Amino acid sequence: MTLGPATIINLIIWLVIFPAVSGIVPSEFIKRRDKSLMEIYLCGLFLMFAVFEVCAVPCILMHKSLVFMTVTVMMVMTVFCIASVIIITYAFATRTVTMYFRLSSFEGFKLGDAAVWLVFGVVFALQLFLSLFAARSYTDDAAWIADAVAASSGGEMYVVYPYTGMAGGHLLKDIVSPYPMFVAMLSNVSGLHVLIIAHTVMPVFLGIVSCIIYKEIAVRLFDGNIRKVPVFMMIMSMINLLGGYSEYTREVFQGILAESSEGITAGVFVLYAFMILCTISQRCSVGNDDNAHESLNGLGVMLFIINTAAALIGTVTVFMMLFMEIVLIVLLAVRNKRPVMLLKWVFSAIPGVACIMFYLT
Amino acid sequence: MAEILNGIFTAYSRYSGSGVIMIIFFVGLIYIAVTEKNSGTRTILVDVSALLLLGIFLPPVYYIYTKFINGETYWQLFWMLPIGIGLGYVASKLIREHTLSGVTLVLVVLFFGGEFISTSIEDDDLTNLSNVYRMPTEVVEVVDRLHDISDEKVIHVAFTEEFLPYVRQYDADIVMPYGYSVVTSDRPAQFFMLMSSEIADFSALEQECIHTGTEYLVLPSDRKPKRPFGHYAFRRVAEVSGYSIYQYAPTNGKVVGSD
Repeated sequence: MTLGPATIINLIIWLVIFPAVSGIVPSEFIKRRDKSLMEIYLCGLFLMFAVFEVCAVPCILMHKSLVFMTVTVMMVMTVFCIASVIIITYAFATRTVTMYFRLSSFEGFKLGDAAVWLVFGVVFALQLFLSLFAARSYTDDAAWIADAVAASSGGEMYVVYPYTGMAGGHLLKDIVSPYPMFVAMLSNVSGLHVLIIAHTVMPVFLGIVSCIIYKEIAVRLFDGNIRKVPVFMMIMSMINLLGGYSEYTREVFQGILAESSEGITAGVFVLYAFMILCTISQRCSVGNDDNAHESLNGLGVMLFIINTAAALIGTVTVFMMLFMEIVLIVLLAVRNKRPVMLLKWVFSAIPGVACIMFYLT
Repeated sequence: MAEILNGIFTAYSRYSGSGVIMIIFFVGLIYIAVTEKNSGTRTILVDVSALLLLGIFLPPVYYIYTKFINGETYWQLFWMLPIGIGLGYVASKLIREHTLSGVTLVLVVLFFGGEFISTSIEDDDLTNLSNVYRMPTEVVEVVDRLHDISDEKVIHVAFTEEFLPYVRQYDADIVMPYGYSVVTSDRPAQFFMLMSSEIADFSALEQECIHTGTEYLVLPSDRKPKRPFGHYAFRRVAEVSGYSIYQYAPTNGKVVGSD
């Protein structure tokens, strides 16, 4: 298993190109204009997680191979990518493409801002370094990585007991949350050992994704004022580095156990759900008019995607997503006297509730 | 009810550590509630945080979570609180509005309230990683040697406890008679008990090998046999990283036993 050009190209296709291109479709549900590239990328990434969940579970239940599942996911993602290309082509044809993307404005950019970005860069690099070289192997990884290794080397999914390798079925709750198979798929397409994907590629990748989400959260909290973002980013990177006030904090799991299901929940899902809820909160504060509430329908679709994607990780993640969502939605529904918001949210919650129901069986 | 409240507060104390950071967070929330003009930001940071906190401390939520999800992980629900983001927002506001005093305050809070993430964990379940696989080196070396020794693709091996979490993470072609779950089991397998014993009882291990189809044993090299080694149907085939690999190799019922 060597790191050749094919490995890098395949990882780039799956972790960068698929999300970045396909993200244009779900980002249409957030807003039609002034989208940032990072926003689109995040939409695509969560779409990919959701697509994986929807494709993987039936494949596992029907005892299909890992290769079959990979091809299925690839085909669905390709369809989304084609749809995205059509949308962009249409935007070019109608000369609206310049309104379509929002590139950060550097107007009024000062030397002080550059210094703050530099400090952020250094602290963030230290974070990535830690996630790689201070990373620990967690004994709880024993089951899920063994499942991924077994699928990657044997080609069949969830057919042996992970701890021993003896033939044995899995609980439905494991099959409903097949994140290990996502790692196995990346291992197969890249040719790298599952352990290298899990302990080296994923921590760096998820660290960068967390950073992108923080940036998008900052843009929303500061109401689009991009000049206030660097200070926030610098402080966030310091908090993430010094967030070990106990060994159970979100920052600890995000920082040094990023590849585990707890780590991905802490460093990606909770943050992204917060980002979408932040968008809903900001839109509802703009006005209590019908237009503002109409624009929430698209965000409901994004919540649907997030809840589906959360099922990939596990029921704890799903529970957290639903809990965060219902708290904000009930608050806004009561405050704005719009109980229909709650009804719309019920539609978004269906995948999460279904996952929990499967878990309970 | 007392048990539920105890569970909630145990989860809270596990999560919050000394509690300093939570106090700073609550102060930060009050600061945002008082000074923030954007109602959207105030809603998501203050109102939602307060309601989430209230929800986490509600006994019915704890009951539902422990009954249907996983009571051991209730502390993870505190991750929903935007503690880092809230503090980051307050800090950047302070720095923007009162540059010098803001920076000083933020640095003081960060360095006295926080702790470096990689030093906060003192957990036996975590192992420092030193190779490209991020595995204990002896696991990689022993498994690689087993493949050199054996002609079979799938190798049946019994290991001592320290190997159990890692072997099948590295190689799915190693099949074990018992796995990592045996460590936390109330009734661990007899084979595991024999492998963990200070004195290696090879005659009993032989019975377990026959019973489970295990071909190799990996034991620490300093593990003493119960009787002189020549009496057993095992032969030591390799020595790697302080561990001896024994092959169960009976020849027509005749005891082989040799170094």
